Amino acid sequence: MLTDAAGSTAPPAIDPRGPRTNQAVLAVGLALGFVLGWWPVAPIFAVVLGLGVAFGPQWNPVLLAYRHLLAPRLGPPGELEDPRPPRFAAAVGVAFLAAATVAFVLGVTVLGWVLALVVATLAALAATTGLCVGCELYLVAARLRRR
Amino acid sequence: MTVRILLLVLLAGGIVWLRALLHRARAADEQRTADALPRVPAALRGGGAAWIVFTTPTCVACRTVTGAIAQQRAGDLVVTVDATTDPDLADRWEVRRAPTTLQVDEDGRVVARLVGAEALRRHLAATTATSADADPDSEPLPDRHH
Repeated sequence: MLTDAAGSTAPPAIDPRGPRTNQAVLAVGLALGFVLGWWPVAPIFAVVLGLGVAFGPQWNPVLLAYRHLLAPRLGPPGELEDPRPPRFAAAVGVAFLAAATVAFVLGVTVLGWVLALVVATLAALAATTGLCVGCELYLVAARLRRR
Repeated sequence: MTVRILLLVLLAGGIVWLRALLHRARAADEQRTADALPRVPAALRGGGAAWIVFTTPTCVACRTVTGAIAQQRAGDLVVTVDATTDPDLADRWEVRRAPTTLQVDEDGRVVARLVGAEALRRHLAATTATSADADPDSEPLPDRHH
């Protein structure tokens, strides 16, 4: 089946360095929380990511800081990105961090950190290589929906 | 705390290793030439020469690629193939990333395999420059667009 990418109803493209910054802050924040044994870092980042997923990137404080503080110094991006995959990836991150929070509250600390470190590792991978596992899942889900 | 730091170092090492693997795979994909690629059947290229652009539904750079070909090679047939709905076609021409563009001649031979928007832009500039050298009355190259 042939399709026309230009004819799709895609939302306006975004600067991919915004999500990359968000992923880097998430990875570093969760890693620091893990080293210090401070589990509230999981619900805090769940809320940070959740705000962006639920209400749009302008509600995510990290993306907001990137847009107003970093982006003007960096100049225009070399390429743009569809906002839907990173948003889906953030939703997956929220689910993992919410589950981690429940595990911490129930006293299952090891499970809590395992879930949080999965998010931290995937976020670090996306920030440093551009390989966003959650974004790839979005494509798989989109393909399954069309079947 | 030491155990936790060691664990993080291990994870960071794993990420660095994966990054190197990915970098090597991408470089190999970008350097892959059109040699030995199967011919493109007439049905897929409208019977003549064409540009086959492998896309995904969320690929913004794919729109840049199709736009650049349409602008610089007006009249050329551009066929877009969604690699997520046609994975068999993507596999047949060893497509690993979107956009990957195949330039196909009238006989269905793949004469160029271009991975990414930048490779396509360079190819268009180089081949247009060659044509311009051959035809001094032709128009100059258009400016680069992002």
